[in-house]
Amino acid sequence: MKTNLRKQRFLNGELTQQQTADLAGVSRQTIAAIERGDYSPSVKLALILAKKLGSTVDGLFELEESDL
Amino acid sequence: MIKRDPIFYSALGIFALGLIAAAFQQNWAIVLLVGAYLLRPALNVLNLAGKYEDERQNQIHSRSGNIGFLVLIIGIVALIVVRTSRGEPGDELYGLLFVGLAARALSGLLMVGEPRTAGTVILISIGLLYLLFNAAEGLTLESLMNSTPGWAILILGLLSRKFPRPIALIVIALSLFLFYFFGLYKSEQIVVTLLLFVPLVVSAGCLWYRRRLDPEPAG
Repeated sequence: MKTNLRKQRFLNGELTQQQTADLAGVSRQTIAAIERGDYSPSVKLALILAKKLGSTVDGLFELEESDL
Repeated sequence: MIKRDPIFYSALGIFALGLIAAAFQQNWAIVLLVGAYLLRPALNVLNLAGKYEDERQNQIHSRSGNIGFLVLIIGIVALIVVRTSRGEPGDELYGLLFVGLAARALSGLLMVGEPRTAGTVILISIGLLYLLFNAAEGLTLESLMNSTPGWAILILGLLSRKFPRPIALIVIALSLFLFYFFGLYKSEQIVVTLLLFVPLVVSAGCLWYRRRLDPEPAG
């Protein structure tokens, strides 16, 4: 799964990982793991992140060919 | 990375108390020390961590907990083998092993979210295990007499599919009878209480519980 979370953070006033984590109510490590592609967030967290960053889940995450 | 939130400071406080208790050579110091270590995973698993809960951390706790459980079970089995080879009794270790496995099975059944099915499965499992352990003692008149509660629980389990609520009441009555008959309130009976009384009460609760989406028994 490809993630645009890092890009969306920068589009939102260059938010740090910690600030994004505080917005979503998770740890900084969770945000870092999502950005690295090591962790796939739950639907709930994906929706929260999308809402807090003024984006959509589709805008934040994309399936890659290898996922299908 | 250590997450510094109220749960961290609570655990730190409990740990400090444990150290003080250990310094005064109090046996219960170990409870506080282990409690401090398990505070966050316990709050997470019980959904009590609230806003301090982190889904990835939960996943890590769950996976590491599974590994810990597996290692613990392997360790207990290894100890039983060692003790048995030395001709020493391993009753307490067997008790610990079965309590761990039963707790895992019971919580797994409850997490499926179909309480009435879980109640029936729990009752049938207790009945079958009771009969199995009794049969292991040999086929004597005494063991046949002792197997009566096992048969009773098994039959109740089979009937609970059709009559969940009446069976729930009978199971509660049977549990209370066993509680007093076997003296399960005594501390030396803790393993029997955990393996027999607690699952019976849980199964009765499951059978009594009625969810709107649960299919009603026919007839």
